[in-house]
Amino acid sequence: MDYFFVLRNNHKRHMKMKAKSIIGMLALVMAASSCTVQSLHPLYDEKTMIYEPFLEGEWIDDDGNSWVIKRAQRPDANQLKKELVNPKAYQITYYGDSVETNLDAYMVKLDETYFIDLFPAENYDKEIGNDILLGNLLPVHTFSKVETQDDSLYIYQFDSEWLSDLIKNNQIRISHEVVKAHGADRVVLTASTNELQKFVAKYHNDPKAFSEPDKFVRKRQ
Amino acid sequence: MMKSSKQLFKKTVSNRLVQHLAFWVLSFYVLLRIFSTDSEIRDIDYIYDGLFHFTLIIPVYLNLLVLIPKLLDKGRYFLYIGLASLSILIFSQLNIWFFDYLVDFLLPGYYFISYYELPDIVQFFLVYVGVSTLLKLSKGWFQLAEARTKLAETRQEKLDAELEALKSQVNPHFLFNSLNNLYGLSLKGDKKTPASILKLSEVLRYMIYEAKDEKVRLEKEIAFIENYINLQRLRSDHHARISLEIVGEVREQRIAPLLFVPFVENSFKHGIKGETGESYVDVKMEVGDDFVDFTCRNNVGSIDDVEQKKYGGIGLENVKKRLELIYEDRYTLELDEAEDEYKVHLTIEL
Repeated sequence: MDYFFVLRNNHKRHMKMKAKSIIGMLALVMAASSCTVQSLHPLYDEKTMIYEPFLEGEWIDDDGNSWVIKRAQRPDANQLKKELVNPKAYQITYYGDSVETNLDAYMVKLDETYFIDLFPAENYDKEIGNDILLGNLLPVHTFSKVETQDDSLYIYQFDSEWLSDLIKNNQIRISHEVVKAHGADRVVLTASTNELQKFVAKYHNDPKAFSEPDKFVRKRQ
Repeated sequence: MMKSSKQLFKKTVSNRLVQHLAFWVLSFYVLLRIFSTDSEIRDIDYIYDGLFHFTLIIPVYLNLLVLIPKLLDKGRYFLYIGLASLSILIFSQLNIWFFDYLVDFLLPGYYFISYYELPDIVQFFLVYVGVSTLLKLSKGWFQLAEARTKLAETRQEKLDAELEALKSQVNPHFLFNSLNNLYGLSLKGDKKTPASILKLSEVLRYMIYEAKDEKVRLEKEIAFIENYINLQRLRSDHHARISLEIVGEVREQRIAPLLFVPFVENSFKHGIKGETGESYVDVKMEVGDDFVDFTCRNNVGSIDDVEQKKYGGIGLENVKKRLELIYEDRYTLELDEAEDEYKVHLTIEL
């Protein structure tokens, strides 16, 4: 499962590996943007974000890739110790295809249902290290519905194809822009957080709004 | 063609249904611009705008058809404000429920939410209820203004009719007296009779044809008085002193016709006619650019004493009414009744 278009490579890796990771990231961009809904504004706000310790740990997806979820921290100004980014923020590190991807994540509770909002981690620009490319990239939010069962995690991505069809057929009224990129139309939501929350809360039970869930199993130590 | 087009336009504009339709069409356009926050107006925006108006129409017409006529028009202001505010609050909340729940049943397959919070919706509804109230009140104000104009026109017409009636009363009164005079001359076989008839015809020409206007040139009115006095002079005693003095320059001043003649007429009737001894009638008119000062003196006739109460008579009463109607507070009339002289002093601001 590819969650986002920004990949973060490891500083210590070889330059060759860095070039490889950028190419991999671009491939991920195209793949990710084609299946999930992108938004300029986050789904979370101070009122709705929650921290659920259950999510912490290492999770394995269907392809055997590893996802490590932990409380988000960052080094303080003196680089002596790490401090919390936000008490309710998660940091997700994805290991796959010999590259590492770091994401900021927030859990949101709307109408008794849980969602997760993903956003490129703080230093994604340094990790890419390509100013020309960075000048043409804009970080966006993606969000998915989350369900848990025993030691399993089910992630339901919002179906961008479903949303695009609704917008194309004038069946949905939500602030957005249609961006043309390489011959394809990409829908980017411009709705405010409040508007996003209202939509998600109202239509999260609509089966057509989500793709089939991705299953993650907790890795026992 | 132009007139019929104007009438059609006026009829269309004053049609209540057209007014309401125009209001809602304008409202639809304005809200569409407000609601379309993206770079373009989409078909879904029209649908949303229509649905939003559906929720707006009910409180607006509740206000127009019930609250205003039942409360505001009857002076129950506080109750009106209270119930109007309550209706705004209730229908604002209903608007939210409508888009949160009801719209999914009305338009399955469409995805709407309530895009505004309660305070925002309240503001929308407050503006619409407020504007509809102001339009209703302004419409009432225009109707009142129109009614006042019509009332003023009716009053003016009544005034004109009254003035016309008063003027028309002058003529038979004067004619009756003049014919009496001519009758007296003809009985005596007086040679002045034909000249008297000629003078009378000149006087009548003025009264019938020229004095119909609301205002006449002062010059003509003075000429008429002169003719009238000459007419009276023909039948008067040779010893009687009759004078007409005009002081000042008569230019283009205009005055209501036939205001002075009743006084002159009465001075002859009660002075010259009623006196057996020395008698006189002195008429003086001092003319300025914007005023006329008229004085008429005559001796008191001894045989006329018993009729002193009738001095004013019908003609004098008519003049007083006309002065009041035409010049209101721009004239002074003094009637001085001394033992041996009557004096009339009339000043008019032109």
